Amino acid sequence: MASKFLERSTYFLFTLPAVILYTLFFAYAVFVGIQYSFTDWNGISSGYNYVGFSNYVDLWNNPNFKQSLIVTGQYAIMLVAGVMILSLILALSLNSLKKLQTFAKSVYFLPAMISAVTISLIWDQLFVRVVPLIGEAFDIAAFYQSPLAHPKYALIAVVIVNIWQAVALPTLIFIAGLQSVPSELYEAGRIDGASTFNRFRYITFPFLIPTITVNMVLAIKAGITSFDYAYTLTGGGPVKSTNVIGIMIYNDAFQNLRFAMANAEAVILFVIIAVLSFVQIKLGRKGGVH
Amino acid sequence: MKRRTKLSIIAVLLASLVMTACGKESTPSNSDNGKGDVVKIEFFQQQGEEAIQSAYREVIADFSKEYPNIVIDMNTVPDPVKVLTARFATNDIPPLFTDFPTQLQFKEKVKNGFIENLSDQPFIKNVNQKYLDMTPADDGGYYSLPYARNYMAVYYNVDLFEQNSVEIPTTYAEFIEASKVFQSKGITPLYLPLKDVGHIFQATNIAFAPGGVEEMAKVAKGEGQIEGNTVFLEFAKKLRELTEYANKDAFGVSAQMMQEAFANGQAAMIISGSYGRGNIKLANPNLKFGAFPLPNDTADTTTALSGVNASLSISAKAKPEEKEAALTFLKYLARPEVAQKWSDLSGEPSIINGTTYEDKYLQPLLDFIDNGNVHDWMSSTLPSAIVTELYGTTQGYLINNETPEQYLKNIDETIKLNAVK
Repeated sequence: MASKFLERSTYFLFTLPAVILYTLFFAYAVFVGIQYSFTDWNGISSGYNYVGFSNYVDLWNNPNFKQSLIVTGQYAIMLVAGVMILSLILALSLNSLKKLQTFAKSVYFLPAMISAVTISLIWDQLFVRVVPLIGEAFDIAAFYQSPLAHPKYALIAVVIVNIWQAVALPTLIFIAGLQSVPSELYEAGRIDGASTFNRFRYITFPFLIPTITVNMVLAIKAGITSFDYAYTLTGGGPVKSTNVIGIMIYNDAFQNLRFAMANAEAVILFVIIAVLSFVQIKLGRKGGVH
Repeated sequence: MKRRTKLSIIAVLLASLVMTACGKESTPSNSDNGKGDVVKIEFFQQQGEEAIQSAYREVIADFSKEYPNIVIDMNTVPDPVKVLTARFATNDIPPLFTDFPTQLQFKEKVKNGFIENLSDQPFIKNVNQKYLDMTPADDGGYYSLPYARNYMAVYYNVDLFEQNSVEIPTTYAEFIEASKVFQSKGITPLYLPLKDVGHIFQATNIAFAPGGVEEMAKVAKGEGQIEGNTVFLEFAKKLRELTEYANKDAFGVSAQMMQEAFANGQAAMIISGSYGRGNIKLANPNLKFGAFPLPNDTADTTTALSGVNASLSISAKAKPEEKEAALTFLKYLARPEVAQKWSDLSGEPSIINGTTYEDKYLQPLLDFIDNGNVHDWMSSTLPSAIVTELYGTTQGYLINNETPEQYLKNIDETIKLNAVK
């Protein structure tokens, strides 16, 4: 009896560090953040006043905030589409490789091991030094300058860099998902005369749905909270065309001394992500093989 | 049974981990006792330029020979302004740091009692009075040691000017004339970094729209407007005209890339801050270049942007021994011979009395700053939120080919949107 108790409490104790750290660094921070969003704290002053919903009202009337939400939405949609499609294609191709599969997998996983800032700096140089050369060689007006210099193309360019790195992990998860499909099913399908597409549609896809849900949630979250790529590549410019919400929060807090306002922005972002994740997980449960 | 053994092993390992962690904490104090009272302080230095960092590194090395008991640990990070603000917000203020005493943000920090008052320190008297007069806080006290001045100016390639027999322009018309000469010979007249449009906006606005910053400050207070202002209209047209003589890829170019291009002789002129000089010299030590103020219509109406550079301050929240160590370091820095060495290495014009600036090509600019019309950086008059938002507005004007009239309207809107209510 005593040993059983010890065993159980040991397992509980093992979770304790995580619970404490989570409470300290996450739950507490969220609570304090929400509290600050109802104040007028500028980040430096020693005191602050509670101003109710005034920050939220200001944000509602701020065209820059709306624009930033739209940019973030576009960013997330492009990122999710790009990552999901590319990583699925990559996973299917890598999974069907007969030779050098492990090697190929590690090559495609490489970008995930480089930090986002490093990747951005490399791509920034590529964009500014190589793209104009291509533009001039093939006489494509859009490529005369770095795409980051143009409000129309900057967001797409940033997303491309992000996708380049972000496909690695979902690819790996998809490969794991693919390997959970029993091979007898394919055999049976083949005997019944199912085409390649139909085998994918009716055998592979249902098995992949849980994996797709996981990858979607991760990609949506990454898209909406994205900050590092846009910040290092463009700093939100040109003309705010890549001013994702993360950059707006950062600038308002630490540059514009509107700490409370930045917290209000972060709270809204938090709510959006919570709702999206909830809907996503609900929808994902509906179909597929579990 | 086996399981229990496993668990107990893990428990023992965990316990030992906790104990080593505790043990670590007590080690440094032991070694400190052995060495005597060594005080180590962090020096949060905001200027990331390589030349400036290495100048500080050298001076710190000299200092530690004279004061072996004080260790100055210089810390320079990317995006320092925001990092420092974040550290103030979380009460993690570095004991010694550089900051910009003329800016409204700095005055806010002083008002909240974060920064040590240095008014009574004798070394403050070593600073050039004209620059010291720019730095008092709202209570009239001095809270930092101003160490160098800075400016925005046109750097020109001396050889290219001589080869093409172009004289240093003193009016805007002459400036355009000179640009035309270079353009006709296939030389890029002006290399603009419009990805980092901020300082170009500040320099051109102060040069081409005298009194413009004060006008914008009025708008921020809810009085007046920029729309329809003829001086601003003139500024907008000139700014657009400058881009016609600029590099084709200007919007993708950062300030650092501009410095590199200029150092490699790819352009005749750039509009740069004093902070760029060290980098240009590092990239090409043999380049001969000078500076002149960005000219307005006449020499009389030309105004140069010049202010006090990052100055040194001490945290009021630091421990007494840290404050003492920081003060000793400031006292040391304020010696003319130390300031001279720092200025020579960093390329920054020192404002400590008794120093000289050995660069005949730059001297005319410094003389102009001493005797002509000078205006400080915009953030000394306008909240920095407005200034940085105006950068985006200006980028929009140039990239989207908006009309000057539309640009002025947008300036009004940006200021009103970001004004403190």
